[in-house]
Amino acid sequence: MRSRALLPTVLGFILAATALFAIARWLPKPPAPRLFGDPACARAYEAFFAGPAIELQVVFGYKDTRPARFVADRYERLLFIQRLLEPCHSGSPRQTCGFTRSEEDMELFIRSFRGPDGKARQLRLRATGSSAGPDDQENRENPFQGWMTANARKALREGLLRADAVFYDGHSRAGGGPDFGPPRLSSSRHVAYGWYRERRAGLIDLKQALSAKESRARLLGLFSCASSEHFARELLSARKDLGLIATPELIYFSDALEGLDKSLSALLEMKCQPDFERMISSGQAGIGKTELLGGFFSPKP
Amino acid sequence: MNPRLRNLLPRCSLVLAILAASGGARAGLPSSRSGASGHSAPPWPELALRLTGESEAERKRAIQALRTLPGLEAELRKELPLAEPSTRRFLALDVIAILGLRNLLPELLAASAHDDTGYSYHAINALLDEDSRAQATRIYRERLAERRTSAASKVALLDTLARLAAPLEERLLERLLLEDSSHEVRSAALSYLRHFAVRLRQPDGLVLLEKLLEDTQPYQLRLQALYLFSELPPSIRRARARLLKACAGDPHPEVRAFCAKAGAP
Repeated sequence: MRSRALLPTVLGFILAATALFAIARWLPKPPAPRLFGDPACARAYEAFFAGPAIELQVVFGYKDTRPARFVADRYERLLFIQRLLEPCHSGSPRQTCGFTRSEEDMELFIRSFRGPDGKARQLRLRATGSSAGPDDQENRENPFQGWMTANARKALREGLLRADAVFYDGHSRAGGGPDFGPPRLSSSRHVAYGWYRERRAGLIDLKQALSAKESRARLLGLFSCASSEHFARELLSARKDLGLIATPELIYFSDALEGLDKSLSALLEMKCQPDFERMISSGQAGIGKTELLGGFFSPKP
Repeated sequence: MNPRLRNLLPRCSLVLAILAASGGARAGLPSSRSGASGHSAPPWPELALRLTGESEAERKRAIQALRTLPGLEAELRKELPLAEPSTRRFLALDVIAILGLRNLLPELLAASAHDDTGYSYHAINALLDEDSRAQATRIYRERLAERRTSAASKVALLDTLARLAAPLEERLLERLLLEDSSHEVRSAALSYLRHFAVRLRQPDGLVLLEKLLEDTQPYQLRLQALYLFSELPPSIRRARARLLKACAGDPHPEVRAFCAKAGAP
């Protein structure tokens, strides 16, 4: 008699357990945290992706071709943007994809991203250009060029203060540093490299921003000719924990774009050091192979 | 024909050649490249890399070596139909432009239809002369009107048509300026408008400028339009003073700052 009275209770318990089991199987599981084989690599990415939103700043410097009048950065920036807006393909290591763009701000691109803890974050990438048009002579006569130059310079400086990673694709100006406007010319209409070497205004700006107490950037990419030689020593002495992606020799424009693309992808794929270095220098036809310097993979524990 | 236009046209092919001669320029300091050339000529891509970013002497040596490389045109032809952008393809376009290989113009024009980078047009522009300019202009207008043309190609086409002072059908220009899904295409259309209004002093498209200023995002386009507006003759600006009045209340601080500087009431 007693066992018969208990039967509905037992049956109810079995039914409830079965239902709960079925629901648990169908519910989406929270994504697992990323497993890193290398503790230093794990620390680097946990620190980099600590916040709820990751800010990335890409600045295309003024890409004149003096003594020719052609200025190329608008076209190069658009090649980069076209890739950002393409859908991502599963299994592909390329992460410069799947972004949507802001309607109010033509520099801003957004996508969601899972950090090393498996949780979703917002990726906010800004892509800023420098030139108003494709003709250097006409740009010098266009008042809008002044705004473009000031805006790009500000984007690089503010990026070093407020973004997590900053990338520059442009001219080195013989070590004068990143540059965002029509170049100073010699009497023969070539770039006045001596003037840039003497003043080094772009490099000084970079160092000041990196040395600021509130400078947040952990990774800086300089995709410009011989940037390792021109800038690495001074920048890394200003910020020892900075990761610096640079090139040791002359770099062709499409190799610079490829290096930028691969660097962003290596970062978002959370590649550890040997794989990161392999990825950022792969597929470059010229001799300007991109390299990683500095302390990105040795953050303080 | 407008005498100013007649004076502009004979210089255009030279200017375009100058503009395009360093297509794919390297971001760098001219310096000598180390490395022996050996007895046999280096492969054409290695020579092509020396066309930009190097010293003038190195560049001239590379051009001379390319000119004497047997089978060069056949090698370059192989790169043209490839739709996927690659460094080899960009280098091939540099070589074609700098060496002035007009034989390859028909293949380039055909290949440009599938080139989403728009870089084929820079090479084509370097090859245009009086005979081929009309055909190219017609093709460029057609491509601009095709919705499948990439944003990068449209920007290259708009820039070129501006330099050629080639008028566009008004509805097409309106669509590119106000409706295109790419902000960069709209910016290039605004630059096209500026070329006619400011450089050629033909302010016929100002109705479109007004439409853009009345209601458009993003803020950078409004700012670019206001800068263009500020370059117009005073009589035209006075007649459209209400545009400056409207921008004083713009939601974006950069636009409001420009308006204040421009003397908005």
